[in-house]
Amino acid sequence: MEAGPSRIDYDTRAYFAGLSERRLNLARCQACRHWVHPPRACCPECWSDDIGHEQPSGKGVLFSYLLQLDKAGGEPSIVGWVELIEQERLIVVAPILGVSADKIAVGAELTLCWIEQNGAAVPAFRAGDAS
Amino acid sequence: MSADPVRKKVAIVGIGSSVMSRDSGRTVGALALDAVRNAIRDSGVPREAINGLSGIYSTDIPTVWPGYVAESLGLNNIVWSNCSTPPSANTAVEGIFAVAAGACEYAVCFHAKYRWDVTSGAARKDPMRKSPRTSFDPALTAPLVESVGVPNGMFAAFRRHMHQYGTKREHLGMIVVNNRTWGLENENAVFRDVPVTMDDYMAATQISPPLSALDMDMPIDAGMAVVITTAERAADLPGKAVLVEAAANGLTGKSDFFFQAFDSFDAYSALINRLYAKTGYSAKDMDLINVYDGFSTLSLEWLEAIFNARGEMGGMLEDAWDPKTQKLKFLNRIPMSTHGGNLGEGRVQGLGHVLEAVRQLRGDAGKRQLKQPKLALVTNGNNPVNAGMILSAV
Repeated sequence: MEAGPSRIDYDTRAYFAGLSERRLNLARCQACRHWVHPPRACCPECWSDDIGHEQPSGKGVLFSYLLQLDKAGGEPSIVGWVELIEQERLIVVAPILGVSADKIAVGAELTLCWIEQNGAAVPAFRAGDAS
Repeated sequence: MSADPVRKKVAIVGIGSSVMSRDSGRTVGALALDAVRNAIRDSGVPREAINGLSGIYSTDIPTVWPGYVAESLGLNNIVWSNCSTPPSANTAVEGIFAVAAGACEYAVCFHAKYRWDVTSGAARKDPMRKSPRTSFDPALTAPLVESVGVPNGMFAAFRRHMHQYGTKREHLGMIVVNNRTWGLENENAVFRDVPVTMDDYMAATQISPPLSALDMDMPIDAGMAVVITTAERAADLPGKAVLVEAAANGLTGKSDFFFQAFDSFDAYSALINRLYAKTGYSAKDMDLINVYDGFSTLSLEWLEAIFNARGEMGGMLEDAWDPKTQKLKFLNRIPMSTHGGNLGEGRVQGLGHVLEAVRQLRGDAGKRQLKQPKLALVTNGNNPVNAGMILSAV
């Protein structure tokens, strides 16, 4: 599998460029300060075209999750819908580390971390508040 | 006064476009948003009043669907939406008909094209013009979640539902077993000979916990169609007609399949409430509800919208469940998906729900015929593509 995303476009390139530097660049309206993720070319609140990119704190709470079963019989992996503390329903979808499938719970406090996948950095979140 | 519902009764009140360029520096989605915003601004119609939205998706290379535009522009009151095929004047024609029919009051109809790598030799050298790896990415978000295996937002929505409202796996089981039990009475159902009990359901292997293969509809080869005409014309035909009482779509705010699959209830409610507002009926008036079940979890939220019971469907299902017949009977009276739904009959992605409503209302449902049903409610959809109708017997 090749490293990185299958497709980058004008709306997602700042996000993907950030990943290679281990920075979570999220789109944010510079007019009304609304965060916009997934990134779009205009703000869904005020329709401004002035979309910049900023890094959130990296703190979040588990909004929901999926368990992905390991066909080889190992521990299931966890994919989390992480609601960042910056804004209600500002969600990043990422692997959840540091907690087992039988202990994971919606509402868990999470902190951004980084993992390597096929030679590329991708965001993940670790259970617990310590970074 | 003319009896024609279009002539002199529909007008175009705003137009808009994006830049037109060989190299706009905009995504195909952004171009659509530019055009839609400009048209709405030109019209002077307030954003909140826009309640129809139609676009072209299935063209040579994907564009974006109405859900993308609704979410990106905060169009939260859509009750008629459509995604049609080229040529792109189709979308305007459909909007005109929709307005004429009273399906919506202010429709925005859009299309956007992009110089993808497969449509231009020069574009193949430009990394920003790489076409989607998956042919179906109508919200342009799939690459953002590839690193976690393109996860199923629907299942995460059910997990959230369990957390927020105490919904249990057993509740989905009641939906699945109801549909599979009715499917046994449908001689054309793919599962006509394969009963599923609640014990079978609870024992099924959980593929994406807590969901099992029984929660997903069965892929089959099948086609279905309906013929529609005016009630006046229908009266002259030899067959028995069923009347359309109301039809609607529903789109509200957040809807991205991968990131934001948690608000389907809002979209389903917009649709259902429109049907009720147009007719004066409510759930208690229905004699049959055929509820979309591409996955059992979708039925759960459709039912919440139908009965205006957000977060209460677990308890309502327990009240409706009859362990003796292995079926559901809402409000002690109303059956669900008497053909077996997609889970029992097989997956034609919802048209079976319409056909069954017609059969029941005509009295053609054979051994599963209900006693003289007058009104049937049909829902189809896995947000943000939703459609529904109320049909009545003549």
